Amino acid sequence: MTVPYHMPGVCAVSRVMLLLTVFCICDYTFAQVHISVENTWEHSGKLQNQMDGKRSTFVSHADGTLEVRPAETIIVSCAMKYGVLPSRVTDDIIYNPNKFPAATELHVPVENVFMGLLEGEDQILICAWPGASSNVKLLLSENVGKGRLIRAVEIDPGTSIVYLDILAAPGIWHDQPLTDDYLETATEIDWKRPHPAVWKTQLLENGRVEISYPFKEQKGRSYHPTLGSFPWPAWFEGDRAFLHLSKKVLPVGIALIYALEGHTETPIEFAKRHVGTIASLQKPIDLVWPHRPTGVFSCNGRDFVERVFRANLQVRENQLLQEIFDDFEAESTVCGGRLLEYQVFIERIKRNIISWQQSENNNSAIESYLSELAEDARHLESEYRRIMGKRMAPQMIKYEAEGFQQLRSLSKEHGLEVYAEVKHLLLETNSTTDQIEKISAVIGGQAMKRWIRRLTYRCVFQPAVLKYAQEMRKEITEFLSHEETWEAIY
Amino acid sequence: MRNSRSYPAAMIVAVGLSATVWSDALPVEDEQTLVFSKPLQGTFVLRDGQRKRISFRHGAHVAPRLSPDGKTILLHLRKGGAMGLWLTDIDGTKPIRVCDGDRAEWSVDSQRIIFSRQGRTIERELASGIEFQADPGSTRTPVIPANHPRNQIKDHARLSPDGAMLAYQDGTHIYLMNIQPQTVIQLTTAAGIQSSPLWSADGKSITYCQSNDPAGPWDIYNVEIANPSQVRRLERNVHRAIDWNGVLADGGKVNSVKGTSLLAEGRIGLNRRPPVTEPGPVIVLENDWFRATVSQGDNSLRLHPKSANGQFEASISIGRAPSILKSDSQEVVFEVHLTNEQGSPAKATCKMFRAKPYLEITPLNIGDDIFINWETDFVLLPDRFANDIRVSASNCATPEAPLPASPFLLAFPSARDHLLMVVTPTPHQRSRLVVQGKSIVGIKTAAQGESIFLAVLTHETLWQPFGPKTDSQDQGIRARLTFPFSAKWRLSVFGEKNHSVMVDAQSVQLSAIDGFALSDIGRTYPYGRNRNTPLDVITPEDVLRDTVGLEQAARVLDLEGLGNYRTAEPPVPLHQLQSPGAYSSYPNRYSNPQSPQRLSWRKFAHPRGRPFALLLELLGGGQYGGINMAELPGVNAAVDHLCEDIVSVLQGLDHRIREYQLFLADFKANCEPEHNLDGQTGDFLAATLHRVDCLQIKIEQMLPTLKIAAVKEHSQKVKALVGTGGWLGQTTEFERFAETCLTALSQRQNILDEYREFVKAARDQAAAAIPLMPSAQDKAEQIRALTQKVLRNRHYLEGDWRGESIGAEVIQ
Repeated sequence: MTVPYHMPGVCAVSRVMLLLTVFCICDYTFAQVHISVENTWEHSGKLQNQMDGKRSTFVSHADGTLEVRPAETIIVSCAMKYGVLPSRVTDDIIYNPNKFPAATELHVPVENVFMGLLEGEDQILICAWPGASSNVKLLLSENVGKGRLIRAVEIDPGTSIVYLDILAAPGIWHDQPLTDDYLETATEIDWKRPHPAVWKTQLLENGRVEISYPFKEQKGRSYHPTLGSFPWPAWFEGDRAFLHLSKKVLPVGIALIYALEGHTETPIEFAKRHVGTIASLQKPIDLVWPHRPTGVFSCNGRDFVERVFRANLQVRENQLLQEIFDDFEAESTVCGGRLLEYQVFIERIKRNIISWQQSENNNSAIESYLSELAEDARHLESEYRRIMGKRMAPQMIKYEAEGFQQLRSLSKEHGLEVYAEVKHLLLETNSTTDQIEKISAVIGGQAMKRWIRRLTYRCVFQPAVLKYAQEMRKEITEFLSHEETWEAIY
Repeated sequence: MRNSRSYPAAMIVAVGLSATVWSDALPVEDEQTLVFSKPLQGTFVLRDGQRKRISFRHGAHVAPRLSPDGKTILLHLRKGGAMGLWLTDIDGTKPIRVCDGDRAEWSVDSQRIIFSRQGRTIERELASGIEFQADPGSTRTPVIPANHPRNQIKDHARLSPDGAMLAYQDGTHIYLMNIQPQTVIQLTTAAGIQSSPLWSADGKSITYCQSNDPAGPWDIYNVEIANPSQVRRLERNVHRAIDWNGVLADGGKVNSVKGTSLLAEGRIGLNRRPPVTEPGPVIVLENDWFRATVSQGDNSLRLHPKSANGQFEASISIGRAPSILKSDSQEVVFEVHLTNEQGSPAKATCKMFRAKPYLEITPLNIGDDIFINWETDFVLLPDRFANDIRVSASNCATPEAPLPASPFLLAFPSARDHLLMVVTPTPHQRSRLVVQGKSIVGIKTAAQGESIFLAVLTHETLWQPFGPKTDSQDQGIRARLTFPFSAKWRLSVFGEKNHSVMVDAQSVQLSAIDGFALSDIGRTYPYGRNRNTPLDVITPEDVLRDTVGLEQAARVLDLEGLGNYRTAEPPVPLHQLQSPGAYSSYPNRYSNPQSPQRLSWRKFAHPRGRPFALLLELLGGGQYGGINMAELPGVNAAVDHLCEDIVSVLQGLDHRIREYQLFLADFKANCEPEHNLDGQTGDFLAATLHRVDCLQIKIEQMLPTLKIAAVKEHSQKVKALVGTGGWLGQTTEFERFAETCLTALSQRQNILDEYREFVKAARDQAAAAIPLMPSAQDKAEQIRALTQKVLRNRHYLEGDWRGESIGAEVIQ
């Protein structure tokens, strides 16, 4: 039985016309607050519904946010083409109902924020709540075929407050099909950003993992340990948006474009306003490395050093070179030390899974999920060992340190005859640094991201395992939120 | 006490050559090891086709030496400033330091080494480390191993394993001398410089170094003595001091070379003239480049190029059939009677060689001229300090018009597959162009009793015409030229003014040489060789080096003046990053001079400003990174140094401007008409003086408004940022500093452009005046000498390099 709960009135000075209908649904087993969003809503005072002694409170804020203090499960109904579980560290999980033809509902291990991309590409539903993670269920429309939609988001009442809002602007999100036409050519897409923000899109990197690439403000190249130098695949030229895909970033599927931050009308900004800091949405890197004061580091630094030696200026600029070598060593220590953390992390995850398995040994559905997690952990460990090869992190750091020591010594010798050795040492130390960086980029930036996708998607039909998925997501997110290695840097 | 008798007697031999020489170490039949040092790469061993680095140190001084048993390599390495002797095994295990020393050689038993230390010759037992002073009583200078690098190429003499032959270098080639009986043959015939011969273990082949430049870098070749027409390249880009203990080398790239045969036919006999009554050619001499004939009743020695389109091109009038003085497989020497105007008897000796593309002609008397009949549209005198000089009959005021002084001149026949070249290597050998009506009929050279050389250069395509495009509105030259082979090509276009550039490549894009009419003509011809020029192609520079020797050729061409920049101010160190060859494209491909105003420190659009921009780049970021202005002593010092470098660059340009100002004063004084000058000369000098006045007025208006002090002031602001943190390149202080520097640079470059253009034009005009106004010849040559003096100095940021490289010193 559905009982409509009618709002007492609609504010005349609304920024966007809204229609809000709150339904109170009761049956014998559960109670729900049903919010149907037909357009968007605005503040209109405090509403309450009460049935069978359960009371939900609705507060409509001046900025258009609807604050719900639910007594029951909340169902937000609107026609969504995609659901998005955002994460700045591990990259967003996209829920496309067309990929689940047999399902009527999908379970999502949301931490604190969930987004729905509404049909029409001009509205985004945001749901955010503070505190512990909540289980979210996506209710799918009954029709089959390509036009299948998410008809509602059902939020578990485990949380005390839920904030809802609709961000609206023409082209606030965009669904760009990718074809081979985008391969190795800069192609303008038929979409214009509605306002400045950090617009991003997910693309298939190396044919293996979906990575979020922010649109840059100009065309250019970039470097990543797993890709080497590559043309940055997404950028703006004024209002025009371009994609340039390559064999390294393939034109497969769709490019789903939206913004998480960089403007008040973005999910992260919304969440910041109402919920505060959310770990998974924190910026994973701070590019200012305070312990490396000379600033001439990494590839550029090595170029700089090489040119100083090539010009036979090493004695004159010896002091600067020593400072640069200090930086190189610091980088090596940080990145090399990070490799050891992987070992510790994998061991901890394995222990956790074993402990979960022991506590769930009577639940075959959960046991199966946990077995898969255990298998994934073993696979990750073997991948880590494979890519580390025979040299372990301490050996790599030691090898690099010896190289830097030789460079320091050569920088005190005058003459071009030291150049070949310097060049070799720069290449060698750079190669070791590359290898160290690549390990974190491959294991953390690819394998673990694939893993988190797998374990998240695996629970769409298994609500019982959501808590483990959430726990895993939290662990992995915390681990990958590293400031100076390449797991989450783009 | 041991002395040099411990070494095989063959190690020190006297064979009449200037240097004391060492033999090769005794060969080991089953070893095939080549050791060499590569510039900026290290020292390597090549065995079984595999190259392995045995040391990162490189340089000519490394001079790796294989032990006679083939198991150990001796290296000269300078580490920590001190030169020491190092040993490594043949697999390149990490070298071990033996002792201080230099110029080391092995003993035959591989147990000892002899070397130089602090002027003394020391012998050392490797096992015990015991040292002895060798030859304590000897007053002769310490022996120098034959492969030790020296500044000049000398006789790198090496005895064959059986002691029967000596291989040595003379000039640009390697020769083999049979010890008993003493005969000599030229082994190498490829163009370029061949040096440092090393015998194979079986004495059947020789490995040697080859280069287009005496300063290197060198390539390693092997030649089989029985088949010198093919040489095999084993390695590229090495220092000349190499060692080898193999037999005939395998692998590598095989190249064919010319100069394998000298045919002498006809009625030839030593010390007699052939009878002229019988029909048929009296003499036919033929090598791989040309044929020289004298026929019955023909009072001339005719030269026929050996090329597809080669026809009779040049001849020398002779009174009667020549006498053969010497004839063997290497050369034919004959005497001719020259016909001169005075009717007095005049003789000359002519030499034709198996391995050289020229005829050497030496008049017996100082006063005898040599007249070469040579019908051509024009002759071209290369002038790399300004523009090439083209002289045609219409440029000549008299039937025998003097030509500007030049070590050689070229004539372009109708076919493009050969070139004719006359070499007059000494400055007092002057040539005159003989003109009849509107045609050139020949060249008359006052050889002053010294040799001149008439060379015939051949190749499938050796020169090409080019000119303005017919569809070009402004009639400027825009062309993409592709040459038949890679070389140092010279491009010259002639009209109301001349314009010449060097192109060290196989193709070039000429984007804008303005001011030429459609009727103007251009020529491209190979001037010299680069590292990729085929070995069978001989260029004019090769001929000059071969005829007069490397040192003399460098002098007469003033290669130092062409190839380097010098001012009184030292260049900033970082200019070396813009070195030639493989390391940089600066001064780039010379074909596209642009205005200095277009210089941009971030875009690097302008090759002229690139070294300067590099300093700004190192400071402020960009391609090579930049400096974060942390409070660190090294950062502080580097910012200080780089700012000072920039200031010193600008000061160098100011100094160069002063050089030009002094030149102009000198030039003006030289051009003041003297009372006894004839009208033509007076007019010429007056016109020149007028141009000087115009230039001075122009320069007055251009003098730099941005003083060095202003640049220093901005640099102080930049230096004050040290300690503030953050990227220097992102500060407004740096942006202003960069803009100020670049403006100051442009202002100075503009002035230098004007000066240089004027001086080159003055040099061109003086050269053009010589055949037109013979009476002004001396004055014009004075002007040319003066201009050369100022043009041979050049700041490295001074414009208009036109393809002249800044020298190979950086590679060493």
